[in-house]
Amino acid sequence: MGREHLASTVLLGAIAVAGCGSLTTYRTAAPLPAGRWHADVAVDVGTFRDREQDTRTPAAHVEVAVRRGLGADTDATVKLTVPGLEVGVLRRLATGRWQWAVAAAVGGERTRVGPGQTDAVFGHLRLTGLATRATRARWAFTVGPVVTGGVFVPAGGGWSHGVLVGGFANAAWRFAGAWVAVPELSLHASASGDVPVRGAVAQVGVAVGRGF
Amino acid sequence: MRPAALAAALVALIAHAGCLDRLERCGPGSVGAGDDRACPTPGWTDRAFDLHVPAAWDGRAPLPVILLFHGGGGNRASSDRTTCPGGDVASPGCFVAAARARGFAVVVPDGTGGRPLRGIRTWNAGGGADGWDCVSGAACAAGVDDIAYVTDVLDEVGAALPLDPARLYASGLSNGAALAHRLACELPRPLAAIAPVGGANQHTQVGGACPRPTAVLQLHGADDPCWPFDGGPGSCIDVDGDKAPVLPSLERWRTVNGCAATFVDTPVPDRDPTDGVTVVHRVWDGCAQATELYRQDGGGHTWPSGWPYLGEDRVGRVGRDLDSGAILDFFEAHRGP
Repeated sequence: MGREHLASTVLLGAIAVAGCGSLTTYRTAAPLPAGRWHADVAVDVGTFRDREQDTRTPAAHVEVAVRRGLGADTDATVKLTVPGLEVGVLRRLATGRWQWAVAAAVGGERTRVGPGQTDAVFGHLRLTGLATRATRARWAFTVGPVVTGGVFVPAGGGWSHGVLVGGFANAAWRFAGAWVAVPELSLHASASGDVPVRGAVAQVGVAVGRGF
Repeated sequence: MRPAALAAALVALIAHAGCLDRLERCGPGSVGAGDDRACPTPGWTDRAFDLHVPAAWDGRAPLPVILLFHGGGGNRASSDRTTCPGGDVASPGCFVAAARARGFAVVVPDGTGGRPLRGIRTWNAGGGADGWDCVSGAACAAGVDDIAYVTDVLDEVGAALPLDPARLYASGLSNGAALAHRLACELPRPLAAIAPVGGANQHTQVGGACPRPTAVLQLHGADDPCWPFDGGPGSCIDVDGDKAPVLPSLERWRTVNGCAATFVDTPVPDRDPTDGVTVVHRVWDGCAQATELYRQDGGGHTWPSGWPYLGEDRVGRVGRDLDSGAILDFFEAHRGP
């Protein structure tokens, strides 16, 4: 193993950070109209800070999401992440100057022994509140709280869990027809347990997608 | 596809992807001669261990057992590879293979996983006071009780195999070497001997108690860039704190082991003149328990005749005048109480 291998190991480990699931939102409180589709690709960078272990781990994620409108106020999302999968649903609660919605998602990751990882399954359940204010025809700003529960089940025995409490803020910019870019910042702190960390997570990223 | 069917298919996919074969306990009667088993440690999350049993074992005789500890950032899967010539895990020169061929059972445990990178593991070998590095990393920072963990591992091994309590040994590299020192001091079961490679006694460096005489064979590169022979801020990957110097660590063992202050240095035959390493074997006189050092002049932070896992530019040279046999010779020559 040379220096190049070490660097690639650290890079792969950082990209394939497990146990974090997806902590991103990249959307507004407005559901897709029934029968419509939306797809986007997102990348983010961030840091995982574990206070007990006194570690800081840089991370990068890539996500691909597909969304479909199911009804007047509901849509569903399937999200592929590296290296996991998540399904979720959003329900709009109110419209007006502000739009309000809640979203729930469940996902999982299977990791194998490799760069930085162990043989394990991670699962997560995320609940998100969304409040969106459209300020102009092309812009909408969304903020909200996020609660994420995670579970870590390793092949090597035992299990552990954790709950992160945090929030996000994003700006959806419709820049060309059906194309939308959504830069987002999210911050999360562990309320209990140690999945993915006993500490805090900060992420910044951007999603780019379009409707069909 | 209707949305409901799509959702059902995705949930099934998640469930399938989540399939995980969890390790089964290595209970009584479940382990036989020649077995290589991975076993969970009850009461510990993600702290499994590998158990290697000699092929020639008759199934009844109490077995001598060696604990082999990986270095900081490694794991049990990488532990043996660092001991293998050229990193070839099929080589009979790997520590586990060589030990089994001599009739030892070998236990290779897992350190505490990092968060969120759970495969990067460390041991709590002590330190963390008066400017001395907390060895090592996450496990030490979190204060993981690795004495209790190793005790539980040995209890589990003892339930699966008849252990010879007078022939229990420990070795390891770097962070694993420092843990071997600490275990000799603190493990409730006395160790017959330890052979730390590339790591000194950080536990006693910060005032930790170590009253029990134990045979010690230290192997250390004089040009070790990660754990400097003379101590101080060594670093392979990141900037760490000060590491305990080797000779003062051995001076404490010399005192505990009842040795005279005098010693004999003997050059080891330069079996491989091309490796850039020469070795001096120091044996302290008059010891109740042997206290010895192989100082590898020109050698790095590597296992003798092992694998330069991060490249020689980072961890230094691999000396090839010694190999795992030097450690096994020492273990074979020493029995505990």
